[in-house]
Amino acid sequence: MSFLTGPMNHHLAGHKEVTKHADVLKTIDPDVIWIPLVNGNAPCTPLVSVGDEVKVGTKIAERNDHFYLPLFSPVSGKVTGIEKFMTSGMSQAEHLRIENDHKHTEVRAFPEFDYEKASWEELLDFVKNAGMLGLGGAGFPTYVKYLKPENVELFIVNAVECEPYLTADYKNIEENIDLLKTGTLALLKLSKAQKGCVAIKEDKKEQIAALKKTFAGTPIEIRTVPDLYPMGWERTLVFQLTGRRYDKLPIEAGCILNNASTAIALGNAIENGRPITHKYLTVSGEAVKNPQNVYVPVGTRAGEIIEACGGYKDGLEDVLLIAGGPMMGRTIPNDKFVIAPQNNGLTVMPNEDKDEVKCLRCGRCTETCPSGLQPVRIQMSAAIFDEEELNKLYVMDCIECGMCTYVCPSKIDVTENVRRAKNFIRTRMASRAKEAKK
Amino acid sequence: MKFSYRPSPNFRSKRHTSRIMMDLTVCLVAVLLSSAVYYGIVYGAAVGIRAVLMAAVSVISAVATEAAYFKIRKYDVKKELSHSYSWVTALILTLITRIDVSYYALIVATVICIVIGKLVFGGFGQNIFNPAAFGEAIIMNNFAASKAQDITAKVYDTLSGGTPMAAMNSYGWIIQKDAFGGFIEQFGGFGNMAMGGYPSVIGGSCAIVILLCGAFLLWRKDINYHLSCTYLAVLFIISLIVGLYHGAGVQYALFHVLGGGVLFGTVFMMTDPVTTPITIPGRVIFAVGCAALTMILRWRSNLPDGVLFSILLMNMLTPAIDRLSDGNQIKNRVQIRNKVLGVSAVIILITLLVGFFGIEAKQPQRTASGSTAALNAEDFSANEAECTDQGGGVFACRAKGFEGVNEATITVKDGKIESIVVTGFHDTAGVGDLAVADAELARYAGATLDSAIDATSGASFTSASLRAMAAAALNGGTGTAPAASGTAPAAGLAAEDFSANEAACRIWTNTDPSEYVYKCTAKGFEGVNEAMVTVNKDEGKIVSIEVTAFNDTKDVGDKAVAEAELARYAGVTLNSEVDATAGATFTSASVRAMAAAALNAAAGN
Repeated sequence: MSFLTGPMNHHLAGHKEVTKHADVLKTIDPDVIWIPLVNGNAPCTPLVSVGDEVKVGTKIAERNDHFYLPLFSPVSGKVTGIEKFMTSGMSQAEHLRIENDHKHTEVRAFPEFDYEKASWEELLDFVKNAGMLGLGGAGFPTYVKYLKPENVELFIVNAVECEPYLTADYKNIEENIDLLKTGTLALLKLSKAQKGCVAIKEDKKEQIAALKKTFAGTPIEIRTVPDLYPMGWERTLVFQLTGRRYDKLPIEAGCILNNASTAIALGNAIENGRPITHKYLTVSGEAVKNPQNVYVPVGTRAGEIIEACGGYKDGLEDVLLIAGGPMMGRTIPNDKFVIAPQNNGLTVMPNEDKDEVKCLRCGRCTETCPSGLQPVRIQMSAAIFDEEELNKLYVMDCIECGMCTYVCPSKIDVTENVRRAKNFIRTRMASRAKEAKK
Repeated sequence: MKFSYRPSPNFRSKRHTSRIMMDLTVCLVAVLLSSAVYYGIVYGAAVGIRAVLMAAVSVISAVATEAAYFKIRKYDVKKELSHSYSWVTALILTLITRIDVSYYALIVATVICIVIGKLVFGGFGQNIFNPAAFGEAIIMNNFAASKAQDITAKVYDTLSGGTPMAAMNSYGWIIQKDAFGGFIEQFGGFGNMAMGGYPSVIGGSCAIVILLCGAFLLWRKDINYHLSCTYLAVLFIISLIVGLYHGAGVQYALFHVLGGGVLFGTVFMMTDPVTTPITIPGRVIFAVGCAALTMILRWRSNLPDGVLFSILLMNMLTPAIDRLSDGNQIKNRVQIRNKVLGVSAVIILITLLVGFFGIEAKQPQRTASGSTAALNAEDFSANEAECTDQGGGVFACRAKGFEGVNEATITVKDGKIESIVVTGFHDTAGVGDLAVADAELARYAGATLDSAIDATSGASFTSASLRAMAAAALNGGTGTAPAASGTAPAAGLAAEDFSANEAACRIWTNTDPSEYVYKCTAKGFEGVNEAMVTVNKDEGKIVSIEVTAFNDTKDVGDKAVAEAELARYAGVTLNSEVDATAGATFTSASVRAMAAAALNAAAGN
């Protein structure tokens, strides 16, 4: 970047070697699963009632507000109830309880589909009805991005996986590289872009070679990006690949992005008629006995997965159980939550005290902030509830990537303070909207 | 199993503020030790040890002050102390202090800078002024006279003799390219300056060590290169442009960077994150402002150096600069960039204008004969002019000017000067050479011994040198330096008037009650000479004189300090007459003045 801005990124110790080469554990088949009936902040309506028999691939619920998203059963068995508890996103939500009969009776969710022959509209419908959603973490329905693909120059498959500890995408690509190819080419067609690329970190040498071989002869290029955080974030990645910044959506910069796991899921739906029923998940961290990747049905309880990975390390009494990687993943104060489709990791860290010091205004948070914000200034303005200054500091542009807390030498929870500032602004805006209605 | 909650992220870099402060401490101690070694070698082990003791005293008073404060406020004293890093402030304060500052002044300044500079604002991270700079400002403004009375007497003379900045100040902050070599020589050239061989504050002594520390801290990412590099670059560029405008060279700019507190300030004070802006654009503005203020304060104020006060002044602007660069560094990048460029351009432009029109080269204060009396009535004794008759009315003349000996060929006909051709000009270039311009020299044509010739304004020394040569040539080459003939009437030392020599003596050793050794200084012809004078106190007689520093004209004045000449002083009392050394009247007077001063001191006068 130029002299006047910081690097806006930072190299993090990846800790990926821990799980990168271990085999994926695929034997987890829980007796009961709970499907979270929520997508984003929107509830999903169950399409089955208590007592119904379901098969693998049965449509069991759907989101049907301004977006449409169907959910499918990952196991065969019987719906036995609806329970409300905390999700991996730390909100209370209803979960559909399904008792697994361990028979894995499968129903083909979608008919045969040839994306090459299908029209653009048919392909969009297929993506919509197949329940494709952003598996990188957002869980945003995929078809929405492709509704108006105008002037798209570059379609990007995001295989960066910059979150430390996580290797779920890596393992998923390793095992399903042909499905990735199908899904990527289908999405390329949907994006109406001339060119596409798979963006991957430059240190994943073996996978880069495999991808180059697989995508040889297609309009898909393999682009390597440096090992920096948050290289996998849309804005950072688009800037890295095209040198362009945008205001709201990447399409303004002529780009559409999807996660590699999403592309694989679409490939799986096209080739095998299977919806998203299972997830590759990295179980890692300093406090878990056998760090490895697992392949589990959506709706499996976190505690069960940790147990299958040998449980917690001996001698530990107090841990942080994080849904996702340690940077952006949320710490959940219990192990009863279940794996949602967009989850891709469980990180378990020992709960250690940090040596917090007063802020020395070193400005490191400002230099590394990928959004170009000044977290320390936001933190100071938030302390005195200065709404005007907070808006001037673009507090709502924060994506909570966690970089400011990571780099802070005084060990202050900068990200959390910015998060509170965002909540404060949201509350203010909501109350103002209410007043305006009156 | 207990599942705790902590807000994300739960992944942190290993770098800790304590480590940054530890790195700083290591560097400060390295600078302190290298200074102590320097002082130890040059002035004796006791002075070197004093540097370390000063640091220790300052650190102890800083930590004790904070401990008392935390105790009174009922904080966890140990934890707060380890997270307050007051020793860093104390070390920096010591390093920007002169070695001759009394312990008393240092302690008071440390306590005030910790309490008022830091704790009342809320402690570490909250203070608005750089606490060390704040403390040093207190010493400079309130304890200027509180000099240590002990061993530092040895160093005192050298230090007050002039830091590079003080020397530059006496020249009006401009030294022409050609004269620079001679000027820098008094500090042993740039090589010596880089090694710290010149009087300065304790920490200013070794540019190499400071630069190494700076490199180390940059490598460890403890300090911010935007600040340091911008500051150095802007300072260099401003002084380079202003220097070139006034006819000085690159050395002039280099001198501004190496001399004074610039390097120490850049590495250890300006980079203090607490009191500088947070954003990179803000830091650039801060650094540009500091560089501009440093130069303006040097040129136009009577402060010893501008670095310290430029930092303090910019500290006050930090909140404003922070607000200036607020916003989204991506979305507002154009506005922010324009602000930085605009503000910097205005600041630099103002500084350049001050540099162009606010400074003027001058010769150091020393009274020169600017008289307009007739040539034969003027006193040119200081010029020691002499002429060699080359036949046909042509004389080859030499006479002292300001800093060198000028040479001219003068043609005399019928008691009138026909022409003067300057064959050797050795005064300050760009200053003295005003007097040797063709138009100026033309004024001498037709001059007789009774003519009055105006001195060239701004070049009185060189002008006097020319007039002296003219007078000598008109006198037929007999010369005008009465002292050179060695006929100076010698009176008893007590009766002679040495007021011009400003001789001063202080006791150096008095271990032997009957024989005191005095360290004396006295002005000679162009410099201050120093000598160790041993006096037999009981008999009021000089035992020996040993000249320790000779700063008069080589090959002229040094006749007076030859061993045989000095031997003449043995046994001299206040009533003795000591003849001046022929050809070295001024230096001789300086030695006699020192002898008299030592005898007076021994007699208790």
